[in-house]
Amino acid sequence: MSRKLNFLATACAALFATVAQAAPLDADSQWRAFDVDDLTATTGGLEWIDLNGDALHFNFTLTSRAILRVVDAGAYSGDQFELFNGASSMGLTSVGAAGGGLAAPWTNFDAAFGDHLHYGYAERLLEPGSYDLSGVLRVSAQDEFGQALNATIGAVSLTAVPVPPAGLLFGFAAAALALASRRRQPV
Amino acid sequence: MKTNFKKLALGVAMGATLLTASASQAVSVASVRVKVVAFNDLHGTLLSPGNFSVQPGGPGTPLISKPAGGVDYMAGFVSKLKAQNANSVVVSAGDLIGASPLISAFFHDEGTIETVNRLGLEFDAVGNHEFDEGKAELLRMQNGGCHPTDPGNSCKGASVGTPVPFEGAAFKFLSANVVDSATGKPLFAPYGIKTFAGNLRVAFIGMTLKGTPSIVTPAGVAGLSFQDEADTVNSLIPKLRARGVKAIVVLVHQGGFQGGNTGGAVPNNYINDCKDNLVNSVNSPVLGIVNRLSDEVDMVITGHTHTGYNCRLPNSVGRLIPVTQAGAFGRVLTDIDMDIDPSSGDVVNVVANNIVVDLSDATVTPSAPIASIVNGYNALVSPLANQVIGTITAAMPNVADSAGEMPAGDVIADSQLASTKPSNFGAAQVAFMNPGGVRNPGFNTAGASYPHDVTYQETFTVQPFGNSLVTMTLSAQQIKNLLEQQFVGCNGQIQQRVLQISNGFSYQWSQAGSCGTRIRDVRLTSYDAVGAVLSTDVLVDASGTVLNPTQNYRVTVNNFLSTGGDNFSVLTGGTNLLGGAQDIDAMVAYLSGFKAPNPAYNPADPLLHKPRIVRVP
Repeated sequence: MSRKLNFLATACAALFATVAQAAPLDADSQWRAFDVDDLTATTGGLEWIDLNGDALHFNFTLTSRAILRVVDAGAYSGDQFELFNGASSMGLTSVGAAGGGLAAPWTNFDAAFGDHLHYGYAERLLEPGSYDLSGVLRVSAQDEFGQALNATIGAVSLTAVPVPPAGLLFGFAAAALALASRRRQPV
Repeated sequence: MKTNFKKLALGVAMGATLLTASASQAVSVASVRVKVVAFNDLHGTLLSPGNFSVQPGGPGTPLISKPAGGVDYMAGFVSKLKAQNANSVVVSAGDLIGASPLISAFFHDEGTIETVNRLGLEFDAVGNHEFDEGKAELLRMQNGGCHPTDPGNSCKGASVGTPVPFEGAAFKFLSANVVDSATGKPLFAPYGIKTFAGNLRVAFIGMTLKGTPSIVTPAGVAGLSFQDEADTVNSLIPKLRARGVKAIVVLVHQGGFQGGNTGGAVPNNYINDCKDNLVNSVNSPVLGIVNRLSDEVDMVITGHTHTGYNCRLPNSVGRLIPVTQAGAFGRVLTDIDMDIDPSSGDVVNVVANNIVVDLSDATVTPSAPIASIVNGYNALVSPLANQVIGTITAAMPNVADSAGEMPAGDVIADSQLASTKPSNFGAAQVAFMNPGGVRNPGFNTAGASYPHDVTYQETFTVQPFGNSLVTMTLSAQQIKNLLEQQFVGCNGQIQQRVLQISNGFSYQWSQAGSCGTRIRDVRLTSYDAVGAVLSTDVLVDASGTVLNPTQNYRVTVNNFLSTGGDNFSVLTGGTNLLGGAQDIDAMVAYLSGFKAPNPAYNPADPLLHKPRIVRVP
């Protein structure tokens, strides 16, 4: 994809951010699908969209840290996304190698996430706060004739970072106190 | 810190993966059944169009006539079918609007959009009639808003109980093969995708026939190009695969006829049959499309030919795939059960069944909210609709005889000649009417007794397009060429279209002839008030020779034909064009001469000089 197209896609994403569909995203490790398709996107761009073609944002607020995962899927590998929190870039996903491919169904996001070689992915540790997550296709997979498909399906998920159980925390604290008090004992 | 995070992430990921793996092992491998409810060619038929004759016992069994249709009952049947399966979707294969009865057309088809919204329609492939009023108006149908030039007959929500301004379609128009020249992209989305049972995806590719420009007024398709249907579908397969779609349904506004359903043979009204696999004397255009479709396509839902059928036809690799059509005017729905294998996302079995929207079915409750909207529009249009404009002594159906002449076509051509005959209105000598513009059922209202008072609504039903008249000058040679162009393969004509002609004009055509040699004995005769011949002008003699090729004549057609509609390109060569009245107004004026106390219009009156068209061996 050319720089010009990159610019246009970003501009479209920014322009339509205000009319985008906001989907919730819970920290439950469940995949939520997004699509990219320049033929059905309301803007004609390469931003993440829902099935109606409207720009798709995932809005959520974290009270504790969580892991964000993004993965490409579909029958063709080789896509790369740029992630955004609002207007701020969160960087790129990896680029999957072309020529791979899931066995159908091509919406098996677990299988896609397990194939890092072919399917682009990203993981980010998110701090507590509010997020407005969206994305844009930066590199498109190609069809059998080498043409950019400019269409794919992908998914995002949030997984809460486990907090140590209270008992374990108490034990750690007691041990630390005991250790400290022993160090203060006169010889 | 980075390393610590990676370890943490890995641990959580492993846990999540293990959990998901055990969950997927518990997933049943049973297929997921998706119900698709389909219809086509509703043409804004909000009220029941009357009885529908079917052969419920199968091919060759007696016809049974049932009252059928009406969008409120359609919605009742849809609700009943959807109640059988939560995984359901309602689709249409085009001509949802356009060529509509007065109740819909008078209000720019807004009532049709509003009612099918509430019926639950999700995808509609555009048909040729969606373009009757052009691209901008079709976009308004999708997006809503009031009519820009006729606000008095638009946005009637306050009277019928719908939002104001007009809400637009809640469903998606689909136009995979209609490319907007300004953008190079389809006018509407080429396909819609719906998910079932989690992430199982079904795509619906929507298209109209590529020949749409030849049957729609050029202004209606300006700035648009229409691509080959099969090529379009096949080119979209990679995009759908990229989007995780394995199950693909094509909605195409092109169809066919059950064998023997044309050419004068006995029609087959068994809507679940597929007589002769749609092979017949005129061939079924949809056959050539299905034969070239990728094997990735699982089903084809068709329209355009107003014929019910339930077929399995070979695709590009010879695999038989389901191909259906649900007749027209909301009288039939296709109930389709599609089984999808969740392990592959692909369709593994399809069972389709055409069902009549039978008003006597006590198990179906018509939609009260939709009936209320329809009643609202009916009340608005009734004062005009019920106006008697003339009286006729016998029915004049739009059924052609073996030569192609229709009783309803004769009276339409006569009305257009009468409107444009005065010297200051065109000085027309003959009028030609395209047969496809003489809409069902002609002046042949079900249950009417004769003499019959023809209402404005009945007249509008026969001529719903709002075309205007155009009078032009054609030479004798051009008239001969025009008549030759009525037949398949002659100068770009793709199907036989015998023009309806006005009183005083006559000719013969030979079935055995070829392009340029079929037409002979073309005459223009003047009569006095009692039918005595005043003069006869022979344009083409009995051998087919044009006697005076450069002799000019004033000819009236509608604006659709004048711009080359129905592949009559000869008419684009006319000169000295003069615009005239709307076709419906010409008909109202003509029939008003046959309203009491004047004698009724008698289609068999010898003064009408029928037959005007004679077919010879």
